[in-house]
Amino acid sequence: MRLPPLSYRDSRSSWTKNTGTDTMELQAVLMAAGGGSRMTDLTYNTPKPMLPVGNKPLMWYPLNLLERVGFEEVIVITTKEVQKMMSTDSKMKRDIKMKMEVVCVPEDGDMGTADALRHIQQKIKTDILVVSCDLITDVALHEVVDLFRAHNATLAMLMSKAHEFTETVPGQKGKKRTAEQRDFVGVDESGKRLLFMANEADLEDGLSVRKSIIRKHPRMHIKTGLVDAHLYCLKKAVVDFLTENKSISSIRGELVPYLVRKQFSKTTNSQKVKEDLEDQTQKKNDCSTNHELLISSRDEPLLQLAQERSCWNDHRGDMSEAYHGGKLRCYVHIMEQGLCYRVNTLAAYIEANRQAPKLFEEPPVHPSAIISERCQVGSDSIIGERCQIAEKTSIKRSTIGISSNVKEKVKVTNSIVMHSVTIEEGCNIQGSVICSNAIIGRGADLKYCLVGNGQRIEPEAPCASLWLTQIRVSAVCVRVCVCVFVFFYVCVRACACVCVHYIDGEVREHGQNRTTRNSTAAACSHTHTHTHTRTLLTREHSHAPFVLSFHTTVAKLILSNRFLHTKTCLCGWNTALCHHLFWISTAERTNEVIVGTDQLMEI
Amino acid sequence: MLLQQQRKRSRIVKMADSGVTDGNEKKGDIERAKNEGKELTKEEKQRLRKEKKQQKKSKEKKDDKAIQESGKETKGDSSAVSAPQPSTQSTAQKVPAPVSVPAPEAPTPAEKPPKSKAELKAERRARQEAERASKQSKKGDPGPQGAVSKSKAATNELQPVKRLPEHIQVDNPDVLKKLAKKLERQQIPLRLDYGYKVSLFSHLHQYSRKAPLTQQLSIPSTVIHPAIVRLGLQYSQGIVAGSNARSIALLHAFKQVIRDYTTPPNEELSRDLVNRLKPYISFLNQCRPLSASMGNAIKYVKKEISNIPSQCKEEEAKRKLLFCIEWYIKEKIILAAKAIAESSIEKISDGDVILIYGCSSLVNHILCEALEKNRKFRVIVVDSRPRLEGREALRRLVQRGISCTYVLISAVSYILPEVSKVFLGAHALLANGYVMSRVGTSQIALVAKAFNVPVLVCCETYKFCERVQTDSFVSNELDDPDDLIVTRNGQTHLEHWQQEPPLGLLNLVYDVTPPDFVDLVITELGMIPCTSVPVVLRVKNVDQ
Repeated sequence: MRLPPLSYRDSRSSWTKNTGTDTMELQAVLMAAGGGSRMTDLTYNTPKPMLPVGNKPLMWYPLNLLERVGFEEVIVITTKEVQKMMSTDSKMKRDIKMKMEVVCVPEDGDMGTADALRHIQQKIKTDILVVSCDLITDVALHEVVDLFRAHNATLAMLMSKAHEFTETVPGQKGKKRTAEQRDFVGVDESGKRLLFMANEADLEDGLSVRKSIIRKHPRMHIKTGLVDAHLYCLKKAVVDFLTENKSISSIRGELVPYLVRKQFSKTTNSQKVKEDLEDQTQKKNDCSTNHELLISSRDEPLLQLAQERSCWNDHRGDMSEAYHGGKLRCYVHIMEQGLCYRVNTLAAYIEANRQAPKLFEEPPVHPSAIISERCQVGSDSIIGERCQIAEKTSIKRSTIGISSNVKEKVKVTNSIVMHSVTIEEGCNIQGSVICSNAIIGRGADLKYCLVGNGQRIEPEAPCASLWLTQIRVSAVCVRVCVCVFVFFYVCVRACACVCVHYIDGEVREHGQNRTTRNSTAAACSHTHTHTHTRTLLTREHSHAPFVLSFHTTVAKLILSNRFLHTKTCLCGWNTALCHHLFWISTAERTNEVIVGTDQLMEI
Repeated sequence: MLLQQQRKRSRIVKMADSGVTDGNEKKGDIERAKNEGKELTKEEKQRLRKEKKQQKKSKEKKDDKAIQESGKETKGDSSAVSAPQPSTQSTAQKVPAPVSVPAPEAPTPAEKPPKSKAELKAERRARQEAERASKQSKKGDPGPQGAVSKSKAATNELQPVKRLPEHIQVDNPDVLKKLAKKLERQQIPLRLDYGYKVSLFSHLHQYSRKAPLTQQLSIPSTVIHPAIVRLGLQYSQGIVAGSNARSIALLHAFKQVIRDYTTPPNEELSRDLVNRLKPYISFLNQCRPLSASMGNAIKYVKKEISNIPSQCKEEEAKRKLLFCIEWYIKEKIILAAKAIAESSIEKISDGDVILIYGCSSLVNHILCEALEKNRKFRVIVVDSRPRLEGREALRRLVQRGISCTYVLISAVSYILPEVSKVFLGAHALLANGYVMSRVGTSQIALVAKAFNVPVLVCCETYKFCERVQTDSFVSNELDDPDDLIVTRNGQTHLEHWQQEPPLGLLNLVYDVTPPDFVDLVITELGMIPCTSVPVVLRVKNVDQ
């Protein structure tokens, strides 16, 4: 990429090899076991790490980042499924020359990132650099690591200014974009020391900052609009601390805030313990953990001496020594410019695909692709291996995946077409995401649609059709991904329009409390009968604690979207669902009122 | 005849090097140059012989070329002849540029030996330089200084003055090339100089803090030990500053290196370890030029390593080395500081007003000890931009309960009448008795002398250095010029200084104080005058 070439990388006449000791400066850990719960539409058939971005699997990007800066080994924490796919993926094999040590964690077992670290604790010999698999960035990584090195920090992390996603996202109405819950990040005057961290979700009313911080850092800048890149440098002591402290399960959610808080907690002072007797035991705990976190160097007194002699101080304005005598220090590097995306939502995924070509210097059109001469391929488009592009097609600002086949007179703009997709003649695809193995029938007109994996969109036809359900049942949770309703509709001006209705319900049952958590449901509203047809997909997040069965959710959704007023053909449905849909349709016919658990619904 | 010319030339080179502007100092310089000229004669002779040989060779080679180029040469020569002869009194401002280069050829136009390519090049450059200088003088710019430094580059190229350290010959492309080669061999990236350098200082390195060396290093650093990488970063960012702190941190890092070290098969520890340390040292040197104290510490460690007998087992050798390093820190730094504190407390009497400058860890230590001995005294902390280290000194002293006054260096003559003693720290003590210290120290010593206030310099003997230096130009350190940029009321005035070609920022780190201004040096060996430094050095050498 744009970093200066590392000419000293391969040379390992170094201290590590010659000495034969296992000590390294940093070990890289790639977290690639996440399910992608915020973009289930894309990930229900392809695991997140393997989602194609610019025709490379998503996890290629962090791996490439690590390799570029000089890592020679990496521990990849992932699932069995991904491991299998990795071993078959040619790109990964060819491009990544690092030694990858793959560690599998059980799928779908609620394993947090910190749990994963605990899982591989045996393999960690030194300080670690943890990267998430969904990070796409061109950061100069030495900035983060230098903070870690120079200040002997316990934690150094990367953040970036949040990007505005300008592209229209399929399945989202303009206003629907409820902003993610903001992070409040407090830094000191230099903008490097991380002093405070809180999430909007955790704040009940107002932001409260502890006195101990204010006393030490009277000037604190609280920043919002930052995205955590999920890239952390951690001391080995932190991993050891994790093994002791089993209650922490996620790095971002629990460990980082804990460390940031701990910077200012009272150090091991016996007086303090006496002060509040009530939580003495807890204090003791803290003391012991604190103590553990501090073991970093064997020559602590000598370093202390050097520090004492040095005429440097990280702050001024009070009478205390550098770092206020604290041993636990957290630092953050905030990227002001450059690319930094976390591909964890559909919007980010689309944006990343747009930016991906800038990140690598490969020809946008793969040499093995067959492109007829009489077609237009924009320079901002990527054409994957073994693609076939027929005549009179026009491809602009799009990504065409490996082995895809685009027939004559097809127009693709602003879209992402994944691998092995067939697009028949005369299609017009705009602003859409088409997942792998889908087949788009002749003359289909897709605008801002999301077509699921292996879907088949019929050639333009006046009949409507519905497709497919998939129900996956696993031991812990019931996860139901429901269907893509595709339904064709010929509008007044005989313009073909495709509506993709998408419902995705996720029902989780925990133990005996049958609480429905995070019932994410998306459904299409309806087609406009105006001349300008456009498919709208809505996505509804119901945060209210519903306690209702999955079926009711579906029914409610369908009803609320009022689309059963058109005649639908029910075919290929799972029996149970069919039953319920029939039930609904009967309800409709008789104009009955259906009673949900918490509200009335009228048709 | 030629020899005399050569000598003259060397004098000029020296002058250019030191960049003397002041009349008084110039005289001293000339004398020095004379003395050194005598010493140089052997070398010079050798070089002359070489040159003659080269000339012969080139004669054979370039006979026909010479005919072609003769027209050019005559031009060049004529310009050289027309230029004023370099008399010893000729000032640096008088554009000696074209003079110094073709001097040897000028008086013997009959012989006219064909010149080598390098010579021709230098000549051409000198001519350009002269033209430029004349242009600048027309404009009314104070150009000649720039010309001086550049012409010096040309002369250096012609005949490299031998045994000059690399770090004061940055403007010499040959030396830089050599450095680059050496670093490549050691697998250390080369750090690029930053920004425009003020004239007279183009022979020194100037780095930017914003472009650390780690940028070009692989991230889990494989070539360099992590402890050294960390230390280098801390040096370059100023987290570890001050020569005591730097030495301690260096020895600490060495300890870690030695601990992680295992001798490769078929190698000898004493040799391999020294070789291992070499690239580390050049890495650190690029992060920030080494201090004299660090140089001494490195010398000591290297010597201890090479002293290890080959039959010594590795574990034992390592243990021995670690012990030696511990001993060095304890003996030379900690105990020395204690001893110095003890003897200097005798010099602090009740009611004293002590002036200190900057933040010297040793002086701070002394004052704190004196307070513990219940001496009643008051301290005036003098500080200067851009580092404002005095604030840190102030904080440490006030925290201990010493009553302090804080002024900037501009107010020093105002404050001095109430001062009874001046205590100064030192970066190094040079063999000619000059005290090298934070820039501004010599100014304070001078003013103190004028006010007849005794100046005491506190310095551990491990900071004594065999180098000789009479000015702050030849060997010094340039800090990041961006440090001088200040933001006040939201306005940053010097933000785009690089876009203003007539503007140069100079952030000098050290200066030297002549022994005339220093009344006493307090070392762990006792109180000595500045002039006894060579004696101490000699005794130390015998000891080791």
